[in-house]
Amino acid sequence: MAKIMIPASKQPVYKKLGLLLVAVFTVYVFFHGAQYARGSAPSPKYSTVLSSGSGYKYSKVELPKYTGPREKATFVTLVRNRDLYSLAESIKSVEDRFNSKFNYDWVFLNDEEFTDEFKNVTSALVSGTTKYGVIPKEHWSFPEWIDEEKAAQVRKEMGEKRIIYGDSISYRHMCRFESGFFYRHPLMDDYDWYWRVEPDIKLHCDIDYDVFKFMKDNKKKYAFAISIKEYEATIPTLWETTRKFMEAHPELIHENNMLDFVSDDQGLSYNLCHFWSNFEIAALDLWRSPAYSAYFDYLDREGGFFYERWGDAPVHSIGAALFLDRSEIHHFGDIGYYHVPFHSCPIDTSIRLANKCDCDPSKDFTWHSYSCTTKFYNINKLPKPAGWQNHIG
Amino acid sequence: MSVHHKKKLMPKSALLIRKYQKGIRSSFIGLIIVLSFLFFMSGSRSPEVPIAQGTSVSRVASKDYLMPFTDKSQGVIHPVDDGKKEKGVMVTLARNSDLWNLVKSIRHVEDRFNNRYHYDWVFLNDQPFSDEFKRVTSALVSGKAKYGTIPKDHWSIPSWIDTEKFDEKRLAMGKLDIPYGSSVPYRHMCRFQSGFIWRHPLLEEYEWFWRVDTDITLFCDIQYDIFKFLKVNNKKYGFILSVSEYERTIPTLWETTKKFIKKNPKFLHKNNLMKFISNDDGDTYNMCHFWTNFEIGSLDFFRSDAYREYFDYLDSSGGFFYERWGDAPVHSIAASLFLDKSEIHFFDGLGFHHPDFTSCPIEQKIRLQNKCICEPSKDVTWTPDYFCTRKYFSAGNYKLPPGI
Repeated sequence: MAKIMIPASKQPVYKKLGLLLVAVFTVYVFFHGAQYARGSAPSPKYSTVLSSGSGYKYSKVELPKYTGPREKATFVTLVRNRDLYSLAESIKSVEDRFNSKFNYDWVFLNDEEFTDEFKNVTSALVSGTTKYGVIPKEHWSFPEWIDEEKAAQVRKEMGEKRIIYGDSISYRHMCRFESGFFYRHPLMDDYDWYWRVEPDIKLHCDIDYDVFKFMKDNKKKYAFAISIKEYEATIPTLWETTRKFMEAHPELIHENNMLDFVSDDQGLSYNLCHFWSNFEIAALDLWRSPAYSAYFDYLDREGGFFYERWGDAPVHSIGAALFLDRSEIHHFGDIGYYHVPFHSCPIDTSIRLANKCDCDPSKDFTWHSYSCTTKFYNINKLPKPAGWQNHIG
Repeated sequence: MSVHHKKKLMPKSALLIRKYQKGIRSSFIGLIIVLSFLFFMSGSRSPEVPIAQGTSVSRVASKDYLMPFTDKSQGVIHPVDDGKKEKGVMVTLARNSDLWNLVKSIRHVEDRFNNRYHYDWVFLNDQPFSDEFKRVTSALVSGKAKYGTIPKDHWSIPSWIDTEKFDEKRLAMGKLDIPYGSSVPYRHMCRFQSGFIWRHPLLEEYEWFWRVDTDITLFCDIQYDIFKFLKVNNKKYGFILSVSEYERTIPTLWETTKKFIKKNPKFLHKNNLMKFISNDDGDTYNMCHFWTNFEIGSLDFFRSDAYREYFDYLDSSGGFFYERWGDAPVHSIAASLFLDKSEIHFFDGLGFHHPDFTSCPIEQKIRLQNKCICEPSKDVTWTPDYFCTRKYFSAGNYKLPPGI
């Protein structure tokens, strides 16, 4: 039998090359696959660059870009130029606790053009792509069917009664925009999910999983951190208007709805419970749906955004409660969140420590008697964390 | 007739036939390349199409690393990370009741610096730390958290203090509305921070310290190992803000200091920073001092003969009790007199707040590179008179940033 001969001088070289190739491939597949499977970014590393002039090499802090799978999601913030530095703190908090690991985009919307300073600072802070949009005039103005004299009279009266923002036009534009228009902005067309962020918020705990993926995988459409009761004086006819809408469009009301979150008497009256919408993580399809579109158009036509001071929070909450399956609404109990004057902070010590929370659990508002989250847990028969009774306040 | 035996040929694997080997090897390599390519493509996201309306700002990576002007004018370099940690530690003096204000400070230091370096943290208290305090802080600290109690003799009135005179003095200061003028624990804190903190056994294994107080904010990402920075640049003491002291808290501090220098002229460094703390070559103190709720420095400086003897001299004169000497003027005077001026450093590019003052880098490019969230209009660093940064630059013969 003839022997296959490889030249003796080359045999070790071939062997080493082969082994090297296999090793490189194995390592590559392992780490890339591990990253893919884990869905989280590796720990930070630095790029070394030559600084012009000095001749020294310096390192700069550069978190690596997330290369795992991502949802079609974005942060969205409605903000004025002058709120830049209170917003900067919010962005920093969201980036530190969540987004530096996932690099989601951020859409900023304003009724005026954003300044260069605003764009420079925010794009430096955000780890994803930043986008800046101007709100169309018709989404931030009085619609034609509004009697502006009547609206002015109402503002004056609400101002005299000291109803919060009762005399404000711009606040009403903001509420109407957040209720019916932000998801229609062209910059939002690329996305299926959003997380609403406002100036002056803080996240207290590390979030080490992709919340958008969580929403998708668990078939959630709307999620909140804090719930509370609305000021009745701002919404005298909102519920009556909603009832008329329900009577006119019963087919749009979900058969497994969560009406019992917003009403204690089968829909006769509104109990004022709503999700505090300065924190929202939700599917844009909820608002883009025929049901919600019809509801918003109906409310808008009635004029309550101007003749009263309907907030987007009760409108969103009633919309979600009526048009979603109740299992599609979620409470994030592990996200410590703060917006003046309320905190949410996990009362479970092991969760707080595991997620490196920096909040004081004695300030947690979740289970407080003024909060509606206990009702949310009760009507959905969800288990509450141990010791929740001690936080009723 | 003989029969010739015919040789039987056995079939052979193609792998063993020389002429096929090259092709097989090439195919294998090609296969690997294709698989690698597929893996690579499956992991990346397709680039987004630009939107017709609105402005998209994609992150443009800056190729140049930018140093603050003040670092250039002070002649320092920023160290490259070499994977080696220095013997550095964060140090905090705290009460159990300070926990929820302190966690915010820890959060800032961790997010802006320590989550990359994992330096240890030493917590000191005159009482034992509660379990809750230890649980919460150790969860937040990325290095090792250590908890120590302050020895009794470091947090009490020493034997040579006339307690009646002390009570008389502090109550008088209280009536004059001097901040903390009547407070006993505040005096213990000032004395401890001045003369005892680096003597604690928990600090023995360290060479460098960063003092972190409650209620601080760090606004910018720190781009380099700050302890390595001190080491490679031969620095012994670093500060961010400097202010003027309340004269009525330290009526005889300077006089006492002059007496000490007169007795121990060998400790006065020939290239000192006297011009920072005195406008008349040492005759009087101008009240300038480093604001010590931010301090990063060498523990060996405070362990030095010069500093120990200075502190012991001050302590024996009773000014920590009969007056209300703060650790800030004590640290600042000592650093200015006993160190070479080049061993002291003004930190820029960090952004810092402690009630009531804010520092924010003056250069926009630095603020953007370091992802600062501070509002530049609130920066007090370069405000003349009450704040002493300009005097530091003048005393050290450093150039001020343009536009100051």
